Amino acid sequence: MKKTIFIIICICFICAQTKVAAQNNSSVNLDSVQLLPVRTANDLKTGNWQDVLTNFFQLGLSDLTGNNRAFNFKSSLFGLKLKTNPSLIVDTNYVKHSFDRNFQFNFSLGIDSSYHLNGYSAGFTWAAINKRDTTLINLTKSKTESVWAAAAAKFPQALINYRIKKFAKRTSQDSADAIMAKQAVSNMMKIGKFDASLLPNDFTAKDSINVIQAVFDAYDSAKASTMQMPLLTFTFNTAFSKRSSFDSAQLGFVYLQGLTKKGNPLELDLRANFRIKDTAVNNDRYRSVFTSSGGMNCVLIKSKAQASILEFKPYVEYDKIISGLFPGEKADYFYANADFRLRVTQNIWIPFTIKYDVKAGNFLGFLNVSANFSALRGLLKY
Amino acid sequence: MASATLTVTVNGGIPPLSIQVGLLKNGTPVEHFGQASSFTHLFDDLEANNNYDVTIAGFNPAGGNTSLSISGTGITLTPISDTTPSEQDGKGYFVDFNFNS
Repeated sequence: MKKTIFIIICICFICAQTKVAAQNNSSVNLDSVQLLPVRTANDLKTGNWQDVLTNFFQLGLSDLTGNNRAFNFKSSLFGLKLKTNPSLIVDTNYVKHSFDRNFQFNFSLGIDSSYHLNGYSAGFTWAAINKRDTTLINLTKSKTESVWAAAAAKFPQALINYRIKKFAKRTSQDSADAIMAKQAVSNMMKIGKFDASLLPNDFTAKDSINVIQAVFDAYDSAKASTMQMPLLTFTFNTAFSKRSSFDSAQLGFVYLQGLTKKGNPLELDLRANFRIKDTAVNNDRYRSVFTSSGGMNCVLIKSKAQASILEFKPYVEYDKIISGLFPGEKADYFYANADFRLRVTQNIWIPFTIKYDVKAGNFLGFLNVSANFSALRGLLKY
Repeated sequence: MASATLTVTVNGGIPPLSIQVGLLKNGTPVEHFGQASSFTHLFDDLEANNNYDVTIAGFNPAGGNTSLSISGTGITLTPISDTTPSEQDGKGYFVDFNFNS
């Protein structure tokens, strides 16, 4: 019964995550304005990056089939403030809240194998450097702006003059052509792809329309370049047991830097983390561990819309146990790892890790991954 | 004399390129300007018994949208006009408010 309820809750949260991620700023109403979900930017982000810095809200489940399940919630400060002041989404206000947009907090509730609350944790992540915010791309001082301004001065007049000429003929076909031309241009602006063949044959100002495609291409190029810019985040988290006694604390940083401007994205990924954990029941001994890793995140498969579908991250990891060594345990470890991340839906990624202990010559994690999926299949049989 | 107030609000970021606005009277350009952010603009001294177009073209910030509206005294939107208020998502937009004064 408890397993059934847990599965139902999991499914609800998975659905809620998609809905919440889709709602982020669309839960804001400005009079009659209903904002659309921030999908385009998220589509183009690699899953690696989405884990590091959320957009507005993110719900998640971790270790579904293990003994330490957790429900996680993340939000940026901006997302919270937006709930009480929807006008913050307007551009003139939006740009003034850089810190709020780059500071996120998180908390999670842990559930043990008996489905009892067994602890909670809270923390924050601060993007000290975030050059990847595509919502702040500004090309108004570039050559693209002058091309755009020149085109925008011509094509509306061309459309209106075409409409006046066609309406003057007073036939239903001519009126339909005029309306169709305007609608075609509106649709092409919306999707960002210009096709002169969609315009009526007697529409003569097609050159001014085609120039706009170059403007869209420049904007897309700017977005792709922005996605490769640096991101540096600092994270602090602390956890407590269900009796509110200290369990652990960790401090870490993540640095991501794109290395390619064309082709499939390749990203440098550097991380370091220091964690201290209370491991004792009867004494005050703490265990402290330093973990560091460095590798590359590669996008292997992209969709036609250039959204990342499958990613691969090979990386090396060095772990140093500074204090609290268990009897017989080594003080340091060196791993060669590989992460695979598969995008299942627009906002849900499934990651799994293979670890190779270089010193011991053992593969770790591979069997766990298989067992987890088998256990998940077992849970779903009811 | 009629007047029309155009309001353009960009949501979810800043417009990557300027918002281009044109005012045409019976198909002849009267005024044209660009704005880098949300704005409200008053077109005053609109001559009576004329047909005007207020055209707005621009780009949305990544994942954002733009809302546009026009209101005024002594103006009547024609059936071929885009509706007001208008909410424009997607990569870019082109809106034409056509009215008689």
